[in-house]
Amino acid sequence: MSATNNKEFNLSNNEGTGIDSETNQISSESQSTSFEIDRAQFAHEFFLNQIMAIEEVTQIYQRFNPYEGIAEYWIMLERENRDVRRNIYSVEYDLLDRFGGLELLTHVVVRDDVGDINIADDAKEVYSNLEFNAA
Amino acid sequence: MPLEQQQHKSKAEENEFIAGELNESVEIDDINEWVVTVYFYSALHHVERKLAQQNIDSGNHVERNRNIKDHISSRSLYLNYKELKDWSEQARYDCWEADDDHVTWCKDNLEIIKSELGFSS
Repeated sequence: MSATNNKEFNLSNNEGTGIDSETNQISSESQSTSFEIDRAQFAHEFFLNQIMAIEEVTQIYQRFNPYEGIAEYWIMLERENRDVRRNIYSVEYDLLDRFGGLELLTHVVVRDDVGDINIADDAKEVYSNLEFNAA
Repeated sequence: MPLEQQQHKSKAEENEFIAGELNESVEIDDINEWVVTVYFYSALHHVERKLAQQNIDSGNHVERNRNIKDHISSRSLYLNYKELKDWSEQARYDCWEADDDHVTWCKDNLEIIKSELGFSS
């Protein structure tokens, strides 16, 4: 499961994905014919795109959880902010609705360093919100 | 074998009672993290109790998230449940120190969750 840090990723540019650019819904034509995009991949990028746009999110740290076959995201905040937390959970809830079948597990944590997460180095990817915003 | 509704109900109430007792304890200080954690487990069993009414049993956290969306369909419940879950994880794994505000918020979250599920006393 590789959600890429594609800074060019844009919801208005869904050409060839089967996603309507206005509504970001899967078009009925695509559903009945050649809906070829990797649905899960798109869902994860959609998710990342929205979370990275939240100013208070400093980093997103991802790993693949082989035991449950899912992507896990640690979404980091510099300080406790319940409004931001709930915004993130709300995005996740919407995604479950929009992309039924999306399998991910998020953890919103107040932390300024990813180093304490004990996972294999080869499984990790780090996303920087600052880098994303600079695009 | 899936647990019965009554088992989840008992465990949820037991955990809520324990969280309250821990929070009121004058003999043990600095256990807010455990109070937070036990409140989360109470919430989890309330959710599973509701799902058990529909003969649904969540095998893991991912399934439970999806079951909340698909079979309970409450955004408010989801937000309050996930907040509890993440605070409890911070408490258990991150050496995070919960303050009294967090304990109050957890208790409030649990009440909202119970209300959303129709389990308010």
